[in-house]
Amino acid sequence: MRRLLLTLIIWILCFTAIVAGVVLTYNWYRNLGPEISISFLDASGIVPRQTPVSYRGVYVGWVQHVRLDQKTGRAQVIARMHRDVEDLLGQGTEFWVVKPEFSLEHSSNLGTIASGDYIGMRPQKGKALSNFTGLDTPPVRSELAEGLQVLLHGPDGGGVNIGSPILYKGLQIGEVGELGVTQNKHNVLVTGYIYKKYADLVRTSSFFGNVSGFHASIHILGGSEVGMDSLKTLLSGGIVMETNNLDAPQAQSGAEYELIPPEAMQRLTGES
Amino acid sequence: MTLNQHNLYRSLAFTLAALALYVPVNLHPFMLMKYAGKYQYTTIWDGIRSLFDSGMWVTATIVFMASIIIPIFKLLALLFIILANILKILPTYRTSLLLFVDFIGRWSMLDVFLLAIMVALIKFGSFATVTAEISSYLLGFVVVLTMLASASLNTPFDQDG
Repeated sequence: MRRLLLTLIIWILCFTAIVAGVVLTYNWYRNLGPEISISFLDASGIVPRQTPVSYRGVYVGWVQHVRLDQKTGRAQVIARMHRDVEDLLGQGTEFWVVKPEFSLEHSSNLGTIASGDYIGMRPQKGKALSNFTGLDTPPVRSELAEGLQVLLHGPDGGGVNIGSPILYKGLQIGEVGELGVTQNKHNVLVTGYIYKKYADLVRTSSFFGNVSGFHASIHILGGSEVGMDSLKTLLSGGIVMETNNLDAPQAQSGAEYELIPPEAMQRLTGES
Repeated sequence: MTLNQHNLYRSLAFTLAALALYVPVNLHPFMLMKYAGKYQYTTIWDGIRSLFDSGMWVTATIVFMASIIIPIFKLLALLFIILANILKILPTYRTSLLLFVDFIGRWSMLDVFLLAIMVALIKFGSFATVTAEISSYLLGFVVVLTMLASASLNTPFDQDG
C-alpha cells in the first residue's frame, strides 16, 4: 500500500513535470519574435549573439548573424526581435549602429566603449516588415527631435558642426542637428534644435548669427551683450540667438531664419 | 504488481518527466551575463557556439557532449531499457547498456558545475556578474530525475542477478 502511494506520488510528479515542460516550451515559442534583416554599409562592432538592438535603452532584440550580402555588397545583420516589438517594425522603422563619439562639441555613447556597440532603433508602428536598410549615420537624438526645430540658411556656415551649441545670452539652449545646403544650393542650411524647455524663447522676431571663429563681446542690435568667451564656442563654433521682442508670437517648429554670417555679426557688434 | 514492475513504472515516470523538462532546458536561457551596463542571456547552445567561435573546440565538444548529447542519450537509453523490459524483448543488451548509462551519467552535471564556478568567480561588483537562469535549474531537475530513473531500475536488476 505504501509502495503504491509512492508510485502514485512519482506519477503525479511526472505529470507535473510534463505539464511544466509543455508550458515552458510553449512560453518560449510564444515569446519568439520575428527575425529581421538589416543591411548596413558598415557592420564593424556588431558581434553575433552579443550585440543587442536597443530602443530607449531596452533591449528588444539580439543579433544572430552578420554576413556579407553578395548581391548588394553590404553587410547584412540578422536579428531576432522580442515579441513585444512585433507591431513596432512597420514601414519607416530606422536602425543604426551606436558607437562612441568624441568631438569638441559633444561626446556621446561613451558607455559603448566598455560594453560594445549596439544597434539603435526608432520604431514605426505598422505591419511588421522583415527587411530594413540601416542608416549610415545616427539620426538626431530623440530628446533633440522633441525640441523646436529651426531652419537657418545663410551664405557662410563655416565653423558650424553637428553638435555645435546654440546660445542665448551665453546659455546653451540648443544644438545643431544636421547640416546641408538649401534647395537652390546657394546657401548652407543648418538645422538647429532648441531644447524643449527653451522653445518659448524663439519668437518670430529672433535673430540667429554664426559666431564661429571670432571672439569678442558682441552686441546685437538692441545692445544686449552676449559674452563670447565661452571656450567651447571659440574652439568649435556656435550660433548665437537673440530675441529682441519677447512679445512677438512664438516660433513654430520648422521655422526658417536667416543665419547671419560671422563678418556681418562682427560689423553688427562694431556698430553698436 | 511485483516489485520489479513497480520500479519499472517508477523509472518510466522519472524518465518521461526528465524528457519533458529536457526540451525547455535547451530553449531557455542558461545564464545571464551582465558586464559594463550591458546584459546578455545565454542558452546552452549559445555557450557552445561561443566556445567554438573562439577556437576552443575541444572545450566546446566536451560541453556539447556533457550538456546536450549525454543527457538525451541517457534518457533515451533508459526509455529503451524500460520499454524493452515491459515488452520483454532484447534481454541480453539491457544490463550492459544500463551499466554504460550509469558510467556516462556522472558527466551530465558538468554544466551545472561550470555555472556554479562561473557564478562564484565572476563577481566584479557592478562591472560583471553571472547569474543562473531558469534553464540551469531545469537542467538540475533533469539530472536528478535521470539519476532517480536509473536508481529505480538498478534494484530489480541487482536482485535478478
